[in-house]
Amino acid sequence: MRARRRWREAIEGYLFLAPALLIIGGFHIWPALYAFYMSLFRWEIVQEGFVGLRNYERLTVDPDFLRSLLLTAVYVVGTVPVEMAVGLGLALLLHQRLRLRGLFRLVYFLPYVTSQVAVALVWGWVFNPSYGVANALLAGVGAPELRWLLEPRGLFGPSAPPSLALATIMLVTVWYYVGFHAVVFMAGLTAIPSELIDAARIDGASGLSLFRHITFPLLSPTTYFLLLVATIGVMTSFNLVYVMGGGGQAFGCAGNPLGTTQVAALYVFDRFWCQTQLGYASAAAFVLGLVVLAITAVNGRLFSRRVVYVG
Amino acid sequence: MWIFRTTLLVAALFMIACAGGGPSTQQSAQPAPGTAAPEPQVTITFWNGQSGVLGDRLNELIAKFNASHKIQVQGTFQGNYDQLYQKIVSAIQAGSVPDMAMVSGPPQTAQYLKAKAIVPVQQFVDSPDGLTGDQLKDFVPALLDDNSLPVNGKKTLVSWPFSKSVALLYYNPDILKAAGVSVPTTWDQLRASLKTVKEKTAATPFAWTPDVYYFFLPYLWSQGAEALSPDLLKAAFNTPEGVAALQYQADLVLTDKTAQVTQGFDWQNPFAQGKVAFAVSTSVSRPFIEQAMPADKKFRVGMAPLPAGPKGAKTDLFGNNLVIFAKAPADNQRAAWIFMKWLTETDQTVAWSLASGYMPLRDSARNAPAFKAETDKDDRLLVAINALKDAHGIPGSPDWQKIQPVMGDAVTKALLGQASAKDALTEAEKKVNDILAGY
Repeated sequence: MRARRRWREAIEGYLFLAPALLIIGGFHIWPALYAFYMSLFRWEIVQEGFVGLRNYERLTVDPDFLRSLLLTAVYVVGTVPVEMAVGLGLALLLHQRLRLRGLFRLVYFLPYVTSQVAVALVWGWVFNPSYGVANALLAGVGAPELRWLLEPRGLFGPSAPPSLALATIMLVTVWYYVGFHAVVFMAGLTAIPSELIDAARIDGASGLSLFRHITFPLLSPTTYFLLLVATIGVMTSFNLVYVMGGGGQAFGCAGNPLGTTQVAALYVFDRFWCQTQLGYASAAAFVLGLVVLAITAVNGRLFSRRVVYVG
Repeated sequence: MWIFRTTLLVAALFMIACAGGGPSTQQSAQPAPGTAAPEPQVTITFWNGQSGVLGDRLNELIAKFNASHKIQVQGTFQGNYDQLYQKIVSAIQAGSVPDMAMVSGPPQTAQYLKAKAIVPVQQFVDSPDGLTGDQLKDFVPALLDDNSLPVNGKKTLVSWPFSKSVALLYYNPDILKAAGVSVPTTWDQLRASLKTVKEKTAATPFAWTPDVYYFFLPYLWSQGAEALSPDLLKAAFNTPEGVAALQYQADLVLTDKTAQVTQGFDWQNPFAQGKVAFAVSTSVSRPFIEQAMPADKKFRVGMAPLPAGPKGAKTDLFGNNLVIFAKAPADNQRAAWIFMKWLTETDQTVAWSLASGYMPLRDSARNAPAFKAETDKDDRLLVAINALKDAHGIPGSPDWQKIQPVMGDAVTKALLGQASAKDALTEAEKKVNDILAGY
């Protein structure tokens, strides 16, 4: 009798899990396995010869792929810390008893709930070199106009990443995610027990030292969570870069101008859909997945020890 | 949340189930040689990339065909050309292709052919349902060339022309008049005209979104040169002709400062507002320009063939062709061909041309009363048609999709002054040869 009930419970449990399992299995695990299978073949439109690991060998010497990894690193380093710092700053501000606090929260969170493609199109218009608002503002203060998303030249040198195009996309990326960080940080701030803050105040801590010794360490679970989520998100981000980096050529595909905005996810897309090297692109996708996994693991190693949990 | 997920899942399963079962088709008896068998009674699927007004016009044509034939055509819009291509590539993976589809040009056709996903149209042209030699001669030769690729070493019609356009020079006659320049007919004249416009007016002399199709290839071809070797296995653009083609544009942008580089279709609005003297685009751009014109500042959009080089004028052939898929049952393939043939009969090609702005595909169309009535009213229709004889297809290499961005980058580099024309092309040549060598 008891065994039967347990059996029934198990079945019920699996039934509840089934939709999620089917979706994760069907849309994540199976495609990943199939991508690995495809990556072992020369596969243009249709499957051709088995090439073993040669696609992977080729990736290690493909300057475009290596560049896309470098650009991804630049993109992550240039956005994630900034997003988190600005988000934390905003959260600290909004955590005060401000008037219209709800309104500010809403305003900062608004970009994050807007479609990325719509956002990218609007910003693309702002930065349009011919009729965009950005150049109109520059012209207003007498500064030379810029080519923004069409500019492959680097900020720090003619060919050193990021190009002005990628830097512009990074700016929009930060703008897009800051609200998310702020809201999550605010939730983190609310979770800090007020007696700890009060105790610190009685001990004479205030301002910066209160933040440094109490608030920031106790926020660490939130910080760690955001670091992980943001790093993974930016490493695999596609929509913003794809839409904003589409310019430059009338018939180009992904990562213009001159490939300077072709981060790894776009490289995969470009090789898969624009150049129809399905096997090779799958290999690149698989490597990208491994890199994300490795970096997440390193993040865990480096930072999880410094996370302080209270409660 | 799980309710939502389950609903999604059920919906997905339902869609898979629906996709599995298509209409069954009967095999018809083989026709006696020389005579066409009765029309098969089948429904065929036609994936196309025509949206908006053009989509409506195409559906009207399909409805007209369906009303007068046993064959029923089901046209489905599959997104723009890129999306259509992506869906066809996916369909080939899944083994569930339509019976026929639009392709945006020879490179895609070459890819499908290489993958053995399509059947060459030639076998239907030669069949009892096909065309006589005289009927075939009525088609513009450049269009038949555009649809031919080598099969077993023999030039073969692999796809069938449908919506074709060419690159043309657009101009604003008012600005040209103010500057005192006439419509240029050679590349040198164009360069000189742009300088004059810059000196004598406040207009932007030339605005365009440069890439391999807008000026590099037509300039190259107008000198008698080609982008790829005749067997399509090597780069052929790193030559004095190629350097000249690239240098020409670099001179406009960097030396003369008479050309403004734009993004996508961004040249269109300033041109429509009367701020730009010259632009370059396909022959179907005119309605879009006219639509963007301010009501109080309308002007007659000027259209001219692209300028000529030592070997005459050349222009890129754009638009789409039609293909028949190899996986379709024999009757459906035959039905697809009968529909294609009908679509390109003189009456239909005239109707489609007048409705869409694409060009009629046959010589007889020009003299068709409906068409003549229009060209008598507006001779600009003839500009594109006359340019058709100078049209040059995009190289029919299955690797073109990989080659074109490399060449596009060479153009961008030269126009930004990041590399000399020679260096940019030398770099591109190496990359293109690597692509063509395979791995």
